[in-house]
Amino acid sequence: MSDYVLGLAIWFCLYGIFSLSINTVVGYTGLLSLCHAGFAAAGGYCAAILLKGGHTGFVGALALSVVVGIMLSLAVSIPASRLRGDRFILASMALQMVLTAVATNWASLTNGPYGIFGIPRPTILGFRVSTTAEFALLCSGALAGVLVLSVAVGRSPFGRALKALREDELAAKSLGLETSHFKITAFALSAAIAAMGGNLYACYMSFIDPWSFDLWQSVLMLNMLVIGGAGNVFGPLVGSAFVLLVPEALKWAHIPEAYADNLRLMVFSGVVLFLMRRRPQGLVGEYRLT
Amino acid sequence: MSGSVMLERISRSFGGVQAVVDATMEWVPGRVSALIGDNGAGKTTLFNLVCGLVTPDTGTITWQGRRLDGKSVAWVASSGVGRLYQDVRAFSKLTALENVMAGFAKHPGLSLARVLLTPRMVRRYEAECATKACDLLAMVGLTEKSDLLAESLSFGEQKLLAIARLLANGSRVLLLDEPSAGVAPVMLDQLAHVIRRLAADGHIVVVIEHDREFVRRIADDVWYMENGSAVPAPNGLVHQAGRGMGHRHADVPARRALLAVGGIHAGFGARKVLLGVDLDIGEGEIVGIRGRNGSGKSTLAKVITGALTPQRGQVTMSGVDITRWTAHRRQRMGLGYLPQACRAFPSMTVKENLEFAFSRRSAEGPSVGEVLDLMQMLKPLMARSARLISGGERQALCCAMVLLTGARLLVLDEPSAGLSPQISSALMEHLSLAMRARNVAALIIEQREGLLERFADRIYDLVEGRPELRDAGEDACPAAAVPVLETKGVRQ
Repeated sequence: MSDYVLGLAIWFCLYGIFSLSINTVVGYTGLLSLCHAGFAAAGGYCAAILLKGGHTGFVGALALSVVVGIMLSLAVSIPASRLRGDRFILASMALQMVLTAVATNWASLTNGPYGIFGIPRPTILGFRVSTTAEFALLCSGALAGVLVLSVAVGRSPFGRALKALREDELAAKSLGLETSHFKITAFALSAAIAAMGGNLYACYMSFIDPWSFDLWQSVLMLNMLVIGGAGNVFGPLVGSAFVLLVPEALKWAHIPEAYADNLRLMVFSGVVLFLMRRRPQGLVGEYRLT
Repeated sequence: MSGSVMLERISRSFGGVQAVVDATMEWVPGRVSALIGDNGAGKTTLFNLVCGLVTPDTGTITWQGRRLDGKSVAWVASSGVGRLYQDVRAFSKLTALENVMAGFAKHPGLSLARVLLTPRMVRRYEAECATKACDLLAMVGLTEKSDLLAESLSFGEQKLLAIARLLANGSRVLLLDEPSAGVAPVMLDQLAHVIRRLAADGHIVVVIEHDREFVRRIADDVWYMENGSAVPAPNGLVHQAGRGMGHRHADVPARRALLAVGGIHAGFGARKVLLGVDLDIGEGEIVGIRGRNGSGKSTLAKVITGALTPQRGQVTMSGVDITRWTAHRRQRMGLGYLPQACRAFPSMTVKENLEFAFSRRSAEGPSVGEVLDLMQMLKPLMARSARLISGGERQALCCAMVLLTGARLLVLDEPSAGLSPQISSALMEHLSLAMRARNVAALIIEQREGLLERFADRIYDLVEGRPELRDAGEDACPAAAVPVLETKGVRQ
């Protein structure tokens, strides 16, 4: 199989992990988040610093990424759990900005705006993941795991409580559900997944800088949900594929690089506007609007 | 009694309005207590106080030796106090079965750790819950709808669903805010049976009800609320038959039709609210709409004012078809709308509010001075911030603002909601004077008994369940006849 196709598969897995992660918060819980790229950045930098410095192995770096992701999520979800709507979005956006600023300015740790190069490929239980094919296998394994987790959570009573508070927070509270507890847990779970995705990203690219995961990447993750649909597991995957394949298609159409980037944005905007009007639940929504 | 919910000298005011004054009650296990009284008497506020949405200014609420006042909503709920909201609050994008299952608040699967670590135990418990939930759905007669999204159920069905959800929640105290409103008559027997059975099982059941007949069937204790105070109701009040169906004044001269509504079908998604409504309003005519919660009154107002496009039917104003017009285009044509719970612009003074409305007038309307002459109650308030005036004064301000826009037809959605009877009748007095003086027509939605009879030329009853508009005809209630004549006298 050509490296090109394998490369696309890896990107699909990474995008899928990110979109399933943000789906836990946006789709199930009904809170818009603009800081998921921040969690991914945290995971990515964990991998970069730990692996490059030889402090831990891949598994250790992965575990620490997840822990850091969860800690950061608490920083936004605990104070913001009483907020709704616009204010929650702003709080999450603030965290994203702070994280990007930290990555840019804490030069002794992150090498500042230059980013970190030469992150080694992971070694798992003595097996070194070096070729693209092996990495694609690792990523698809990770995506499969996240997919199983998402389905399990979505179908569980926990997931039902998330959806209930999304539909009507007061009614959920009146059934004795501590809604802020559910929001915080859902946020932590989704941050953990995003941090894991960021970790894989850093290992695959062997490079990370503050702009690998800035606000626009958070917006892109949301975009995948808006296009694909939220609240189930198919929507995010379809959205990921869409967001991945549109730029590729533009490449094949021999559109010069200079225009392709702008064209890509225009296509996304057009699609989002069209969907908002015609199919607000996304291509593969959770429910059918009646 | 130790098992009772005790409310002792509870008071609560909002801004200048005393919503609940010194209420003392005892709700006893095994009995159904009913709260009756006008809109704005403080019944729902009382429920909000008990279930933790609102904290009392003074007084205590105790149950089983524990204080309920000042606690969070979730805390009160998990200690066993369940609430059925007036607006139901079903989880619309969950199925009926999922709605009920969301009620099991002690489910171990609500913990993410349990879901991931002991999936088999969670699944076993989930299966048990599903069986129980199906039983509860059967009890409220919704078995066949268990896989439908809650939003596609009718208002009455959603209400029954919310009751089933409450039962799944295992509450020992059930606060039911208007359980019968919007429930189809055929389901009422079922509902009464469910409520009686809950009491027989030792629950504390408290209902807010407007339907006196229903209260008579289910209630053991009746409390009458007025202006925030509660007293045990004398039997006669409960057994008193409902008022007459409405009144059409015979001598109203035929007027040119200003607004005509024909064959309107409208609803939200699969939920049909209006099923073929016909109605017309003549120039300068005041038409009242009555009907219970969920009977479609506000939906009708939205269709007329352009906030909702009907699925079928036609709205014409002065002979022009405006069915598909936007709201602001209708406003320019002279259609004024006062939505439910209008707030004016709280950061501006009363004077600024009025001047703003005047600057937005669509046609030559009255001047600010003229409107003030007609609505005297606003005169002393001109320099006050609209945030700091009472609820009644704010309603008067909103009405004055709609008048200033030069509207020829006003659609007023419950102008008296939340106001005391004295204030609301003073408001209506001012408003109808102002409208008669300028030959402005109005469609007024009202729930309060007796108000429309005094000020409206014609009253329609929007019949619950099957919302057809029915002209109430000439079988007037005698009590209303005299004031209507008086109103007419003022006009001439």
